[in-house]
Amino acid sequence: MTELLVKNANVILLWVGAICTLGLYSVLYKENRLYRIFEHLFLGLATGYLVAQTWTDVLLPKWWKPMWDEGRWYFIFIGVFGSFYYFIFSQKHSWISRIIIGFFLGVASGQAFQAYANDYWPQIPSSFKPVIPHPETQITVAGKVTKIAELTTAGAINNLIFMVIVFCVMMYFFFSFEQKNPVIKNSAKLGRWMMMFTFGAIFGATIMARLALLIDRIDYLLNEFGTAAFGQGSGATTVFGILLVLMAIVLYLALKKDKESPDEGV
Amino acid sequence: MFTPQTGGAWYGYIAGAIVASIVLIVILTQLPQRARKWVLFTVTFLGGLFYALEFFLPTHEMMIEGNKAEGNFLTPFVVPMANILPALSSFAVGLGVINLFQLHTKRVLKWNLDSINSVVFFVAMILMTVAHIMAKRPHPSEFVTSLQKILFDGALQSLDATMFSIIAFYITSAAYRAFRVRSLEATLLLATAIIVMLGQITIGQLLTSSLPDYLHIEVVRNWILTKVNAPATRAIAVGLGIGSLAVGLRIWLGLERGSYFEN
Repeated sequence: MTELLVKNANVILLWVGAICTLGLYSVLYKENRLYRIFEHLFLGLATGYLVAQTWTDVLLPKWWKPMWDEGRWYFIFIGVFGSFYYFIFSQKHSWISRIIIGFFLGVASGQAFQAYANDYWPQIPSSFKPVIPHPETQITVAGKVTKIAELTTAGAINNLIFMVIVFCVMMYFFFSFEQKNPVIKNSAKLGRWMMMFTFGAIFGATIMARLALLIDRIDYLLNEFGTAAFGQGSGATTVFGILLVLMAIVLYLALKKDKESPDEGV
Repeated sequence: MFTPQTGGAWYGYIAGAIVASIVLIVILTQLPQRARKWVLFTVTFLGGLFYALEFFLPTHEMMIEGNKAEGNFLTPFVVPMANILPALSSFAVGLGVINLFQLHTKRVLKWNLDSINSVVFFVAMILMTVAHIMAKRPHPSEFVTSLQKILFDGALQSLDATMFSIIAFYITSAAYRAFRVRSLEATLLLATAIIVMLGQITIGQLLTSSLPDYLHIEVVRNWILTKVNAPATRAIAVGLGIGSLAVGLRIWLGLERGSYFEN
């Protein structure tokens, strides 16, 4: 058994991958027991991986080894403080779990200053861009020569659009007073339209990313699994044929179900 | 006192620390309602104080672990803190695991047709945990390595990619609802999404190949992403930063009211 698994690990791996893929895709017909099993398999494996990774990548090198191997006895307090989380299961003393949660809230609040200074603040000055076209020039500041790249008319217009959009979108989120002034009101409206461009772009990119994953799974079934299971030449064709048969069966079952109970369905 | 120890001294210190911790926990359990609020406030404030002081205090040139760096007296503790905090937060993983254990144990004990799902969950979780931990140990056996590879590369990776690819089907139906042209906003959303999607694939590029260069769909897509999407995202991000800074300040100074500090 052990030898069989070790020798055929790569083939078993491909079969497992294909079965898992088809098992989950069975939900596309309807919610069914097979899908539920594979869903729980996924949940179990993901939880197991999280637990194992937490131990091997975090707790073992950052807590256990320094305490046990390097003699840093005071690391035991990390364990004690960490155990405060588990007071959440005590009805009487659940407030103790809020101590560690509060500590992390405090840490996150303290780090917010650094995050703002490092991540967000630099974006404000860099949003102010030149809007007057100019050829490539050199300027000397305190004896240091700096080359400034050429700014074309198109580049200047793009910069202006960039700044207007930043201003308008920020204006949309300006709730300190009622937006009655026509300039503020209209710039906020323009900001909302610009955000629609952004959300459309994000939505489009998300659809493409999900479709790329779908194509990747089909490629896995046809090429990687197909070649391993049915040979180099006809592997992909065979799997494609099997998939077509499966799809035909699903379609038949769906149509049959529709005929039997036409009112059901979405 | 806080120096590494070896041999018997280490055991002595560990025992002392455990006793001190038990005493602390007993004291905490006996605290009255009013004092609890102050404990929570103090711990929250101290948690943020380190990073706030490290950020606000003036810096000077100094040596940190043999390297020249700019910082203050708290800067050398940034790396140890960065090691301690993930270890501390990792203990929270157990909460989720206990929760799942409680739920699935109940289902198994009921024993009906759905219990098989919970059995599959337990078997998968235990197998994956053991295989991954054993595989990460020095000189793992070939069996363990193969088992971990089958479970991770074969099952988990495939299930993960498939689960997310299923969303492609549902997102198509969501797209239909979102993209119906009902208002100017919906039209902008629809037009941008179509341009972004078509600009990414060959057929889209082929459709506009006969137009002038600046009207090629991939050029328009790129312009939308860099000149419209980027500034709008930046404005949202800056607002988000200011908001998180304000909320952070309120929590840190205990000004935030609600279930956390109140009860």
